[in-house]
Amino acid sequence: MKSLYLAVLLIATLFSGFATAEVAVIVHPSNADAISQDDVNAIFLGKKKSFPGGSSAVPMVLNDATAEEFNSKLLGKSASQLKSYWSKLVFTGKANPPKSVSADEMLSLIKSNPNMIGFIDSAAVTGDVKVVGKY
Amino acid sequence: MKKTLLMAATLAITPVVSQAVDFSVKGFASVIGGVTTDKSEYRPHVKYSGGKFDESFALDAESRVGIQVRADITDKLSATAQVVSRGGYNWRPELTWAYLGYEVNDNVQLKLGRLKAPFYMYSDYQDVGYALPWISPPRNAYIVPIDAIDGLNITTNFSTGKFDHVIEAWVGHIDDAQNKYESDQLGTEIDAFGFSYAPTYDGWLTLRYTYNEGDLDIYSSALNDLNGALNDLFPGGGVDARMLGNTASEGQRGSFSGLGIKAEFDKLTIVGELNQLEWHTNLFPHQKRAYISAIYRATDKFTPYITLMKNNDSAGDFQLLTDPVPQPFQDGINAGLLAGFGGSDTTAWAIGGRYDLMPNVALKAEYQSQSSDLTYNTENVADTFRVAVDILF
Repeated sequence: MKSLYLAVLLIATLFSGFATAEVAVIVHPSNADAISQDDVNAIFLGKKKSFPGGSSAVPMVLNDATAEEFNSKLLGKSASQLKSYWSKLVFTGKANPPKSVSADEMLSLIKSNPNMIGFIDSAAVTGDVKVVGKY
Repeated sequence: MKKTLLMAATLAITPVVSQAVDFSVKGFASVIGGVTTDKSEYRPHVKYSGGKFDESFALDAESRVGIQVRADITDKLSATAQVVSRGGYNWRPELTWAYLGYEVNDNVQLKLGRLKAPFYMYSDYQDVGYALPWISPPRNAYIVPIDAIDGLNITTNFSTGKFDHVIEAWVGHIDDAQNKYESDQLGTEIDAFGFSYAPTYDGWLTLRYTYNEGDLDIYSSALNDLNGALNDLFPGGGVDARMLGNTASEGQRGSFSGLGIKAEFDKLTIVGELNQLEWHTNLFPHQKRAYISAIYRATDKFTPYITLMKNNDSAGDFQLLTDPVPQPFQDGINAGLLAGFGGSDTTAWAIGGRYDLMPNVALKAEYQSQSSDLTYNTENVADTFRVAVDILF
């Protein structure tokens, strides 16, 4: 049993070694809501339009390689799958995908808007934004 | 930096002010080529019967391009318009969606205007090849030849425990006077309504039931002219009165019902639909159609599938010519109509796959083989090979 545990741990470590970067989900410092991974998933897939506390949530996505990490880790989708998912909503007029911005724009947008939620390479996080989870 | 700050400021006030209308323009296209074996024909879409594949490779039968404009007027109010131009309809542009959408709250949405009838599991984005695992949804089960509604749609979604529920109801007028048919035999004007209920369990298992009903007012100047001519020749004889409209006979009430299931596992998705098109009288055949498809995500980019299809159609009793038109004339003409109105059992299978070439480009290929017991048709086996490129832009 112990060896099984070790094997699982070893495999988990090996796989985490492949991850190129850690993704930090960020919000405005005044946002006091506890935001779970499920909430992040729902907000970024357009299923929820508000934070758990009830205020409206506006997701923003990055236009760099960190987005791939975010898509696979938090949304469980490849770029093509995500594109396909949004095309179903877009071409029936149901919703538009989140706006895509650069890392600099992401930080300045999040720190100045309490309704926004975004993500960034956790190495790039500054004191102006609040991290609600690292993945 | 100044630009960034300006953008930040603009975005920051947008949710509050929402005065600036936010426009977006997006498009999709599918280029589909196909060829059949032997002398058979393959019609990819019940509505656009002008499009068909035959023995020589063709690109225009099923190819299409669509452009959509959406304006977010306020947080809750949006306007959407979509135009699709397709080879099966001589590339004439059609307004597939044109509506005002209003989000009453997070759980209730209203749509008013030109809408696509939500008959099937894949109705909403049937034209958007990129959003589909197949080149097209199994065509045997997508049987209603009209789908442009002018009306109102109310959709509500809510959750109870591990279930997410979606209830959709619509009412409207269907006037497909643009006439998708080469002849005007089924020119239609219909007041119709429908609803669907789709619960999803734990995010992976979805069931869907839908019922839709409408009264078909048949009008056909060609048939009326023919009837007049026949009446002159054979007083009292002519075309089946039910096809002429404006008679004492009631409108042809049609109903479409469907049962769907979708189970999404880690890499495997199973989806199936059982669809029925029935008529109040026996004028047209009653169609009972089903498919089940297994779609497997083999790699991140490659998704092969296999589909099984079955049709069970009962014969309609439509006769073009009636007594006292002499029997030989009746037989000769009516035999030709059996192609459209006879009953049949048909089975088919298809194997195909999707390859995600780029984040906005997918390649697909499908081989389909169909066999039916149609006695009047010498080509009871029809094989079709199709390839597709689906693009978003």
